Amino acid sequence: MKGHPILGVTTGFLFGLFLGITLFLFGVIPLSSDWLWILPLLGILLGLIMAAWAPFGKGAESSPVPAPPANAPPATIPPATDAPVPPADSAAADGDNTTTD
Amino acid sequence: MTTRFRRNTALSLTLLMLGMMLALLLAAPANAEKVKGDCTGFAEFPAKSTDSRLVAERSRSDVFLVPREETVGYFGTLKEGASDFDNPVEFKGGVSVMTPFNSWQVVGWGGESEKVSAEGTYTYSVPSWVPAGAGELEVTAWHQQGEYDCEVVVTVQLDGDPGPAALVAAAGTVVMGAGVLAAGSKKGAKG
Repeated sequence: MKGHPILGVTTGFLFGLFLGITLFLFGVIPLSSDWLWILPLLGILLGLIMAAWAPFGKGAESSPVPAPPANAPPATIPPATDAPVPPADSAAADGDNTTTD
Repeated sequence: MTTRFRRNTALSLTLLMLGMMLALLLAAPANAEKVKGDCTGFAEFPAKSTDSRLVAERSRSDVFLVPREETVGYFGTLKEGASDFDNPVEFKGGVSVMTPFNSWQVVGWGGESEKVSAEGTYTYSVPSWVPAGAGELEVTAWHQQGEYDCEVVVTVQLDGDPGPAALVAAAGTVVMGAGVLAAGSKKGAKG
């Protein structure tokens, strides 16, 4: 699925349910109509179709980051900040996890 | 907004509207009235100025508007011209509203009687949470006594306006419809 199936099923069911209730309340369909339970099922189907089809947006995989050319200049070093630099020995102790018994 | 996005949105909405139109076309009202037995009768709604009598032979396609509360005068007989039973005979019956899954009994009666007809008054009041002016209700009245088995179906509609409940339901439909469209966005899409 390229889209959002769980969102599609949930909102599709509620969409069909609300649509059936709305049609009944506005006097379009009678209370005994089978459409009151068919519409929520059609809504679930519609949500699944929308999630499978996913016609909106470009998606993460369809817009890959282009690789830099081979002769591109190296990335610029960010300017130094005023942040304190930890002492060299404590930094080595923190990062040293290759000691053996 | 890209052309592809606009095209897909228009296609989705078109399919949605076509589906709704198909649903409305297939939801045509049925037409029948008395479905079982030779019984007959009527209910009189004195608060109504016009069309105040609901008869058993009324066509199902002819919707009867029902007030929210009323004291109804009724008369019913198992068969016109029939004489009473010699001895009391057990009877049972009721009035129920059809829903998509089952029927909901709103009134019931039972007992023993040698009479083949009955008349009287019945006072009802529809709860305030029931929306008025909504869709049609298929109401079935049935009565069994001895060899008589009778069933009458009429279509009624609660008199009044749907009120805020219909607007809330319409708003919910729009919000959930937007949710369905959102489910059609690609995972990780920026928009």
